[in-house]
Amino acid sequence: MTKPTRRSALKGLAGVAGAGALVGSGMTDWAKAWAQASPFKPEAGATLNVMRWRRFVVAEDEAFNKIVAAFTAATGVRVTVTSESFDDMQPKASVAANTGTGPDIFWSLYSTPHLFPNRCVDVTDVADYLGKKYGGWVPVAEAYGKLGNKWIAIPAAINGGYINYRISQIKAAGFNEVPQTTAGFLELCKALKAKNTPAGFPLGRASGDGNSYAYWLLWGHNAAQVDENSKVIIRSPETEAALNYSKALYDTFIQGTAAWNDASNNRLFLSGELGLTANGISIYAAANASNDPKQKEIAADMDHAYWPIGPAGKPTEIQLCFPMMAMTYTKFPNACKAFMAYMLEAEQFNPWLEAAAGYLTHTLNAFDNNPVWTKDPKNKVFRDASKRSLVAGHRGKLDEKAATAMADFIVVDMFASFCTGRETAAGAMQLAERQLQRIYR
Amino acid sequence: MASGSFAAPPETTAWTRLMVNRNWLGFWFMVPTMIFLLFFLAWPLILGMWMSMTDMRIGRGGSFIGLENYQYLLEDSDFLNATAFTLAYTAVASVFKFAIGLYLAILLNNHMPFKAFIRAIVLIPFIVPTVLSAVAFWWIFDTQFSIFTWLLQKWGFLDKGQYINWLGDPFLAQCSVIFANIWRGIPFIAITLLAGLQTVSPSLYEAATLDGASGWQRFRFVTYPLLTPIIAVVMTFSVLFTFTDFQLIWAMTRGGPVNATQLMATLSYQRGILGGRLGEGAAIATAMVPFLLAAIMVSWFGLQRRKWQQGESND
Repeated sequence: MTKPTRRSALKGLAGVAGAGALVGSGMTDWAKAWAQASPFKPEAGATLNVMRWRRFVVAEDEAFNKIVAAFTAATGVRVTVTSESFDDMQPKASVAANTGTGPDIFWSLYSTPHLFPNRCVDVTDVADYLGKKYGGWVPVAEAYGKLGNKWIAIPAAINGGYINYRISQIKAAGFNEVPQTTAGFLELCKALKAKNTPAGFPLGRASGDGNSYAYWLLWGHNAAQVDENSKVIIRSPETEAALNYSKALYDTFIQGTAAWNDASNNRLFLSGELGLTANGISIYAAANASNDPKQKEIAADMDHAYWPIGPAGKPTEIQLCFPMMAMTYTKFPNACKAFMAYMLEAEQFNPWLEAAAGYLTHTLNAFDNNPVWTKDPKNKVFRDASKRSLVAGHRGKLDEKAATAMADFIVVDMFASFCTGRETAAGAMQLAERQLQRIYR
Repeated sequence: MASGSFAAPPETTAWTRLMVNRNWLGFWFMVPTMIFLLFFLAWPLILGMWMSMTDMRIGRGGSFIGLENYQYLLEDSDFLNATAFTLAYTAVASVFKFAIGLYLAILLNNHMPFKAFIRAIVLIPFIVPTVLSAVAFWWIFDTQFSIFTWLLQKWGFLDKGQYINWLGDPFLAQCSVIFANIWRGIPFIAITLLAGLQTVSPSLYEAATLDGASGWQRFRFVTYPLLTPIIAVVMTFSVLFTFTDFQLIWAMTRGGPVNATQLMATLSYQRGILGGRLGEGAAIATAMVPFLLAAIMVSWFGLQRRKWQQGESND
C-alpha cells in the first residue's frame, strides 16, 4: 500500500466532498441500495488506491469520477484515483507486482495481468456475477480476463482503433469510401500521397496504435508469431508477404512514422497534416469538443472505417483492452471486488459509456443498445470493436509470453526494421524469430 | 613526599583498547559510511549480478542459469548495437562537451561586462530538469513541427512541405540525441573548469608572458597542466553520466526508431521492466559495469599519475 500523503489525503477529501455533493441524488440512493444487496462486501475501514490509464476523453474521466464518488458515498470506502500515461501503466504495474507494494487496483492495458498472473486476485466471482447479469462476456474479454478457468482481471472495456480519415481528401484522391481490401487500401494510400495528403501509421514505440497496426499487418496476411502449440512460426512466406505489403504502404506515408508514439498521429491529424491513420475515436472527440473553428471543420470532414481485410479473408484487428486487476498484496480484496462489480453495473456503466462518446466499447453483451452507438453515425464502427477483435497471441495462448512479445515491440520492430531499410525481409524475420524463441522457450 | 594508596587502574580489555586506540578510531568513524555503502551500493550491485545469472521474471523468482543470459546477449544484435551506440554516444558527446566546455570556460575566465550574469546564463541547460529539456528537444526534432525544419524552409534551403526526418531516420535520430546530450552537458564541464581556472595564479601567466610565451603556449604549458586534475575529475563524471544516460533517450525516442538510439541503460529497462525479463535486464545492466570501471581507470590512472601531484617536478 502506498503511504497516505497530504496530496492523497486532499484527493480523498475531494472524493468525499464529491460524494457529498451526490448525496440525495438518484445515483447515491441507488448506490446505497446496491451496497446493501451486493454479494461483495468491502472490509471494514477499507480504502482503495486505483491507478488507471490517463484519459483521452475529458467527459469519460468526469463520468468515472462520479462513479468513484458514488461508490465512496455508498460503501464508505475512500478511493484515491491516480492516472498514468499508456506507456507508463505497464512498468508501474510490473514494479508493483514485483515489489509487492503499490496501488490496490491497476486498470491497465492489453494483457498486462498475464505478465504476472500469480500477483492478481482471483476475481472469478465478480466476472461470473457480471456475466450472468449482463448477457455474458464477449470472447475477447474472456481471453484477456481469464487464465485457464480463473478470472485474473475484469476487462472493463475495449478501446476500438479504426481507420480515421478526412472525407474530402479521400474523395479528392478518387475514392468514396475506404476500400475494405488490403489491395484497395494500398491504392488509396498511393492516391493520397499523390495528392500530398498522405496517410501514416505508427512504426515507433506506440504501445496502442503501433501494436494495432503491426498485428493487423501480420494476421491479415495469415501469418502469426506462434501456432496453436506455441511453436514460433514468424519466419514464413506469409510474414514475408506482410512485410512487402507494409513496405509498399510505408512508401506512401508521411515522414517520421518510425518515431511516432501513441500521441503523434492524433497531433498530426488535428493539425491537418495527416489525411488518414488508425486511432481510437479520440481524434474525433477532441476535434468535436474544441472551440477552434478549424478543429470543428476537421470533425465535420472526418469519418471512421473498419480495418481492411487482407488475404486472411476475415477481420484481423487487435483492439486495446483495458483490464482491471486487483493485486494480491492488497489488504482489501473484497473492496476491490466491490468496486469492480459496482463500476460495471448498468446504472454506472451506461452513462460512463455514453460519456466516452465511442472511445470505449463494452465487453458485456447487454450494452449493445447503448445510445452512444446510434446517436452519431460516425461512432458506429466502434460498437463492434470488442466483437471483431482478436487477442494478443492470436493462434497461441494469451499468456505472459504473448504479453512479453507485445510489450517488447517485437512485431512492431520487425516491420519497422524492414520498412526503414535497416534489415532485409529475411533479416527482420530472423531477428524476430530469435527473440520470440527465447520468450516462448 | 607523602605516601598514599592508589586504586589499581582498571584492567584494559582488548575491546577497550580497540575503542581508544588511535589507529582503530578512524575505522570506527568509517563504520556508518561503510554500512551505508554496503546496503545501498554493494548489496544492490551484488543482487543485480545474482539476478543476471537467473531467469527471474517480474513477480516470480528465477532459477540459476549461469551465464546463459550473457551468452544470449553476445549474439543479440539489439544488445550489440546498443553497446556500440552507447560507446559512440559517450565518446562523441564527451569529446564535444569537453572541447566546447573548455572553450567556454576560458572565455568566461576573461574580464567582460555582465560577467556574473553571463556565467549564470551558461548554467541554464544544466539547471532545467532533464525530462523537460528532452521534451523540448522532442519537439525541436519533430519531423513535421521542427523549428530547424521551419527555419530551413523560411530561409529557402528546404521547399515548403519538405521535411527532415530527424527522429524517424536511425542515423539522424542518433545525431539528434547526441546533440541534445552535448547541449545539456556543456555547462557542467564549463563551470567546473572555470572554477579550476580561477585557481591558477595570475603571476604564472605574467611570468610566461615576460618569457615571451604566445597565447597557445600559455594555455599548453601553464593552464593545461594546472587544470589536469580537475579535468580528470570532471571528465570521469561526465563520461559516467553520459554512459548511464536514460532520461534524455527515453523522453525523446524511447530507444527508437528500430532500437537505433537504444543505450544499454534503456535496453536494460526495456527488457527487464517492460518485457518482464528481470534476469536479462540485469545482465544488460551488469554488462555496463566493466565499461564504467574502465572509464574510471583511464581517468584516474592515465590523467592523474603525474609526479608533481606527489610533490615532485613534472618532468
